[in-house]
Amino acid sequence: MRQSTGEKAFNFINIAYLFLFMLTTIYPIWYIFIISITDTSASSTADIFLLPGKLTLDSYKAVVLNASLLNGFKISVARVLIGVSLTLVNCSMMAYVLSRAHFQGKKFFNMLIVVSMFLSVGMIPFFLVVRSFGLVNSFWGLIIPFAYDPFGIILMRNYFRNVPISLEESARIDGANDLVIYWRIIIPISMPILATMTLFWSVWFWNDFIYAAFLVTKKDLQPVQVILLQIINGVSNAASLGKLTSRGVRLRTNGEAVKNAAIIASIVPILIVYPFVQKYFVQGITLGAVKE
Amino acid sequence: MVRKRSLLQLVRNQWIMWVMLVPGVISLILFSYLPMFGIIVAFQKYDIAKGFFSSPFVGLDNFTRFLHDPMIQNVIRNTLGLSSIKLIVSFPIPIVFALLLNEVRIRPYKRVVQTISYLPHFVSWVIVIGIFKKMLSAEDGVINLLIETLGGERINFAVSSWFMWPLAIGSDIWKETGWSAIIYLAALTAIAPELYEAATVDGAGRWKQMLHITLPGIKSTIIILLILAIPSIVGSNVEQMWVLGSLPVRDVTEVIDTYVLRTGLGSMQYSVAAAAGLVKTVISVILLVTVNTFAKRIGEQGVY
Repeated sequence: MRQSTGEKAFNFINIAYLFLFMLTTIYPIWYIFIISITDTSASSTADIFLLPGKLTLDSYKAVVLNASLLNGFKISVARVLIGVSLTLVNCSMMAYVLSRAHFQGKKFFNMLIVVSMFLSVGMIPFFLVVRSFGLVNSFWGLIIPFAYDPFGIILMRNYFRNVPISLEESARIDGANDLVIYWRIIIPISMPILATMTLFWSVWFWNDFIYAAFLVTKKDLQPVQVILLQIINGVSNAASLGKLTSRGVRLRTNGEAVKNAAIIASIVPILIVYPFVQKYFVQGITLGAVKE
Repeated sequence: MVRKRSLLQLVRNQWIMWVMLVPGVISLILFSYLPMFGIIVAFQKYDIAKGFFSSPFVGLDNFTRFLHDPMIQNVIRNTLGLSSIKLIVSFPIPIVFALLLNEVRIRPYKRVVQTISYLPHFVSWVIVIGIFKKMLSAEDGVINLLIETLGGERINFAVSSWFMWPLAIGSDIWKETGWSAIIYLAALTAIAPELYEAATVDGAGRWKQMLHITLPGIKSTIIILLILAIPSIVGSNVEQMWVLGSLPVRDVTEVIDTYVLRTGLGSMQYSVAAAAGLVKTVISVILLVTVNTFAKRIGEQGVY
């Protein structure tokens, strides 16, 4: 098909515009990254904007040497691993049961879930309930109250419904019960949606700071985002937080660069997982969202 | 009688399914429905030591108390103002982005743009605001470097009240545009290609096709998302506003959600905060029902 001049111009401008869009998306992260790998011991980073200055990994060394940040990373990793596993088991079992047409209580539980999605009464009653179970200032308080996600259950339920019934029938004839069908047939075939939910929940558990900030005030239980919040808002000073010497040698960095290194370090886990799950999640959401 | 027995039999046959449901239902009851009943603290003078059951009821006292808070005028203005602007400015942007991306004929390029576009969605608000604050820093931020190179004066953005709303809106657009576009892009792929072929035969150009095929094709998606967005006018992005709300600029960043957190969990006035939160929930439910009814009246699908 031949293109008119107008269309050619449009194509060109469109592609250029989207290129600009990509740049604005990437640049802020790039900017933080180049500062985090620049030697800031002698000069400030005030004139850096495109390429790093003298290279060093000392800022990252300072992050690792910082006991409170390092502990925050550990808490966050544990929270993601345990939290996501629990949520996956919890929600996928519920989704499986609700996706079976012959399950008797289907309507009632579906309604319970939808209501819980639209009628959330806010953080205060939630906090008071969590508190009354003694889950404040405890590691499990960062996990158990969040191991349920109505939106995720509905997405998974819709996905499970679309699994061809013939697969299940032959297993049933062989005498398989629902737990076997769930574990042997539905779970292996539903990787796109499971990968999608794993990504969503991992990101949620990794990124949450607002619940964590109020549920956990003990320093050694705070996840990394809470500590970063304090550093970024200047509650605790990055420079005083960071030990800027290693074995008596002064690290070639300063408080600002350490802060940037911590920011990058907190994005890296997402950047690592992202490419693997990326191809699944568009498919996962769109398939799961197909009609009630 | 016959029916009853078969029901019993079914439950017996389905006991495994009921067992599988148990953990989910327990979480649902404990952390979703119990808090709904916990909202009674809004009508109590809640005392941590006495708990839900023995705290005295005070009627609507807590509601009058937060309405008399000197801060509340700012809170209401910030919530409604900021959300309205966000709705008007941020809502159409993903649609435009999806339409433009849809016009790209070079597939790999399209994929790269899309993949990069939703990356910021996965970065936490702490980090997003941290990054923006760094870029805007008065001492060594890149924006001030640019301003100075162009011959301007350095601006201390972090303590500039006038800058907080643009920052909130801008960072929101940066973080969520690509992500919000996914749903539109999915809707776009559902449009039958024959429609475009027929239009081309009839001599319609790309612009006309976009106007008469693409846009009508995603109209119902747009309306559903709009219905879901309108109740959020009394809501806000609590994480974003919490990080933004440092003390010098708090009178322009405090919204209902952050106010609830600060009075409730910050200064332990649980009941007053719960009352404020309840008012917000009630208004947003009323808005949702109204908008949804209206959408159905004009022949659209609605969200429930």
